Amino acid sequence: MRCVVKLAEAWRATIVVPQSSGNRYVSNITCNDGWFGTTLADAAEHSQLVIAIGSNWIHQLPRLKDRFFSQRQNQIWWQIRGPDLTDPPSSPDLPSFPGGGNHCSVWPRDTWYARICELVQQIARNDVANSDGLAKHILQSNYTTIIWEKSELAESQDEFLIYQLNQLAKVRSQHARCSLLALDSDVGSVTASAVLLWLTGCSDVAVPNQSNWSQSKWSQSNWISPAYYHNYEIDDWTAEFDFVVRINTTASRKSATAIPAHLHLDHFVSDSGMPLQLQSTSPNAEPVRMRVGVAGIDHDAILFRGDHGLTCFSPAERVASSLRPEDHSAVDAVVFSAAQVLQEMQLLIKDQGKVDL
Amino acid sequence: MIELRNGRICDPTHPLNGQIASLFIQGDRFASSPAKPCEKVIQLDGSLVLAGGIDIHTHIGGGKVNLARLLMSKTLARQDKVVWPTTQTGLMYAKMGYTACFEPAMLLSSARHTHAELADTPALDHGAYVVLGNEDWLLPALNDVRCEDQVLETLIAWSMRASRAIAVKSVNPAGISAFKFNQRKLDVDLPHSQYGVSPRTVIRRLAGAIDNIGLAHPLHLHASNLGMPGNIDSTIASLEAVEGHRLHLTHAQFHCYTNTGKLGMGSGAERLARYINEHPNITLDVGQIHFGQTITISADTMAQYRNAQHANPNTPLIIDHECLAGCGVVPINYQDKHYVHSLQWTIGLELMLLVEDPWRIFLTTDHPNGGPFTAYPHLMRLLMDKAFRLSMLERIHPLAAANSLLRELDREYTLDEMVIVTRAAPARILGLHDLGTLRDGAQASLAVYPQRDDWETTFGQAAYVMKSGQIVVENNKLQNLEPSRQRWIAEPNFDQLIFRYWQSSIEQKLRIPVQQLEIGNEELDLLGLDSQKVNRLPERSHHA
Repeated sequence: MRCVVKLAEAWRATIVVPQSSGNRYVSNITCNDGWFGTTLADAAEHSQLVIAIGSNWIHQLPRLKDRFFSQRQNQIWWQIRGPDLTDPPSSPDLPSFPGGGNHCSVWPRDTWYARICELVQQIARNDVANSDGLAKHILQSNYTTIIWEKSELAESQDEFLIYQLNQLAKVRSQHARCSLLALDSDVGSVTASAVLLWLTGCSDVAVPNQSNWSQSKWSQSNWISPAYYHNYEIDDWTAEFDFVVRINTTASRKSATAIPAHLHLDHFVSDSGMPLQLQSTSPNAEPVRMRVGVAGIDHDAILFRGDHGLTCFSPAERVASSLRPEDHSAVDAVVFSAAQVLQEMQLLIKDQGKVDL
Repeated sequence: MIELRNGRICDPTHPLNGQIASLFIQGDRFASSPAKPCEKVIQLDGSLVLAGGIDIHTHIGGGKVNLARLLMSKTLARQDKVVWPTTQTGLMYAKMGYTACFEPAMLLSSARHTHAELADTPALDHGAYVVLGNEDWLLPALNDVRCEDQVLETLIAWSMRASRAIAVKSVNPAGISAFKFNQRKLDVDLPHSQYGVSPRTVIRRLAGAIDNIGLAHPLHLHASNLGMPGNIDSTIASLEAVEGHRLHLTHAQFHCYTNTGKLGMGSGAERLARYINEHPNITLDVGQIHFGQTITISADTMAQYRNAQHANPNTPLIIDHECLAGCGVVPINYQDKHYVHSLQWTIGLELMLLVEDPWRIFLTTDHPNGGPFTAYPHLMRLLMDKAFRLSMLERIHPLAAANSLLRELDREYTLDEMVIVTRAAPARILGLHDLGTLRDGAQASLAVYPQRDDWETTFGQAAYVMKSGQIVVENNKLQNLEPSRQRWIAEPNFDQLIFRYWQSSIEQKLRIPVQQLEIGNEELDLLGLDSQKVNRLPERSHHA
C-alpha cells in the first residue's frame, strides 16, 4: 500500500480498496454504533460459549479449530446455519470440540434476522429461569463469542443482522462479557485498509483533496473520503476515471482480469509457478498485465498479526524511493517500470482524450 | 558546518543558558566553535533556541490509533478529527518544534504494526513502550514460587527485545485481564477473580524487576480505577506498592479524584502533589484536558467500558486483545461548561503547578485522550501566564472554578522550567543521553522561536526546526519532510534457558509460535531507520 499511495500521490489518483459487502457492513456499524469485539486468542482462551454463524468459518478457515480451539475444555459451541447445506449437523465436516458439547440451530436463512432480534429481547430481560435454548446458554455464560466469516453475511439484509448481533453483545455486556469476532479470510484487503488508514486517514476510498493539496501540509490530510463513493462497488463508477490501475496485493492464483482496468499489477503466478514477465502495450490495446513481487518470494517482507488479522508489511523507505531508477530492489524495479508505463500511457491519454473502459 | 548566530540559548544544562550566543552544528551534532567561518550562517536575532521538544506519552502508532482513525473518518467533521494520518502528525509536531515522540502503549502482538506506523511518521525520532501486566501466561505465575525475580526479569527482557521497546508500561495491572473474567472493578488490593493476583503485587514485582534489569525508564504505570471518583486513594496505594522502587505515573490527572464535594467528585491534586514532592522515586506526566472534541484510546477496556456511557458520538469500541491486553476507543467531547470536564481541566493545571521539581513532571495531554498534542502551546501559556490562566478559569463550570486551587496558585513557569518539562526532563527519564539539550556533542535537534506577543503564539510555530542537523522548517516554512531519524530501543539481556522453559506457556495462550512475535534486526532495517539503544542505568538496583 505504501507503493500504491506513492504512485497515487504522484498522479493525484483516487485510491480504492475494494471491500466485500460483509466487511463494509462491519465497518459501517462500527463507525455508527460502536463495536464489542474480541480476538482469536481471547475467544479461544476465555469463551465459555461460542456462537458460530453460518458455515463459511468451517470451509474457508479450515485450520481454525486445530490452531485455536482444540485446547480448551468445557467450551460450548452453538452453530446457527441454514437448512440448505448438504451437511447435517452430525456431518464429519462440522468440527467437534472436546468436553463442552455442540449444538446446532437450523434456521431458514431469511429468518435469521427476526430470530436474532427475538434473542436480543430475551437476553435483555436477563431472566435465566424463564429462558431456554440458546438464550439460556448465553445468560449462563460469562464470556460469549459470536463468530462468522465476513463474506457469509454479505447480503443486503445482513447489515441489519450484524447490527442486531452487535446489539446482542452490547446488551449482554451489561452483565457479562459478550463479544463479536468477524473473521476475514481476505488478508490482503485487511492489510490494504489498515495501511491506507494510517497513510491517508481514509479506510477504503481516498480521493485527493485537489483544492487544498498544496496548502494543507501543516494541518489536515491531503486525502478525503467523500460519502458519495461509499456503498457502491468500484465497478459502478470506473467510467468516471480516465485511467484505472488494478493492483492485487494478495498472492493468489485468482485472476482479477474480470474487473475492467487499463493496467493490472498483481501477484499472478503462471501455471508453472514461474512469475510472468513484464509486458507493456499501448493504452489502446489490451489491458497491460504486470506482475509485482510477492512478499517473501521476490523481496523481503513480513506477515504479521495486527488488530484485524494478518498484515503484510513491505519496506517503506524502498517504496518511498521507488521512482528513482538507481535503486535496484525487485520492488523498485517493478514499480519504476510501472511508473514509466503509466506515465507514457497518461501522455497518450492526454493526447487522445478520455478512454472508455 | 552551520552557525546559528545570536540566538538566546534556552537550555538549563547548557553553560551559556540565557545568553545571546551562537551554536554550531557539524553533521548531526552540536559542535564547539570552529576555527574557520561556517558554510552556512542563520541569523536568529535574539530568538529563543530550544532543544527539540520530546513528547514522552503520545498515542501516535498502533492498532488502536488506526481504529480511532476509522471511527473519525466517518463520524466526525473534518475540524474535529484529532487523530491524523502519519504524515500530518509528523508535520504538526515539527511545526511546534517537537522532534521526538514516544508511543506509550505498544502491544506485543501488534508491535510490527506500531513500528511500521511510527516509521511512516516523518520528522520525529520515536520509540514505544511495551504493555505488560495483563498476560494470561504471566498473571497466574506472579503469586507463584515458580516465578522468581529472575524469571520475571527474563520475561520482561524478552518482551522488550521481541517488540523492540524502549520501556515497559503497565495498564490497569491485572484489571484488563480481570475484565475478561467479568470483573468490573479491581482495586489495588483486590484479587483477580481467576488468578488471585492483586494489582499491588503486579506493580511491585514489575517495578522491582525493571529496576533490577537496569532499564533507564522506570515502570510506566497507568494505574487502576482510571477516571473514577475517589481514585486518589488507589493511586496513592499504587505509588506505595513499589516500595521505594522508581515509578512513572502516567496521565496523573485521570487518577487524581476525590469522592467528596457537592457533586461527589473533587480534586486530589494537592494530596498527590504532596506525595510526589515527598517521594523522589516517583515521576509523572499530567495528561491535561483540552476542551473540544477528541477520542480516547486505551488498552484499559475495564475503564473504557465504564467511559462508554459518556461516548460522544456514541460509538464506543471495546475489544479484547490476544490474551495480553485490550483496546477501548471512546469519543469524548470535553466541554468547559461540564462540571467533570472542568474539574479535570483544573486538576491537570493544579498538578503542574503544585509539583515542585520540574525534572519529575512532564507536560502531556496523553494525546488524544485529554486532547490533541496541538494544544501544547495553549497549555504552555496557561502555565506561564497567571493572568491568562485566571481568564480561562472564568469560562469553566462555576462550581469547578470555585473549588479549584488555581486562584491561589501564583506560580508561573519560567522559561527554564518549561524547557525542562518539555525537553530536558523527558530526555533524562527515558535515558536519551544526547537529546533534549543543546550541549556540544548532542544530537543537533532544535527549535527556534521568535518571541511573540504571548507564549501560546510563541510556541505555536517555530521559525526554524532542525532534526539531526538537517533543516525541517526554515523561516516558518516546511523545507524537508525526511530528515534522518532514529528509533530508540532498549535491549536488556535475558537467560535463554529460563525463557525456553516459559515459551510453551506463552504459545499455549497465544496459539502462535513466539518467534512470530520477535522482530528481527533485518525487519527493522527494512523500515529504513537506524535503531539507537538507550543508556542503561550504570548499576543494578536503583532504589530511591
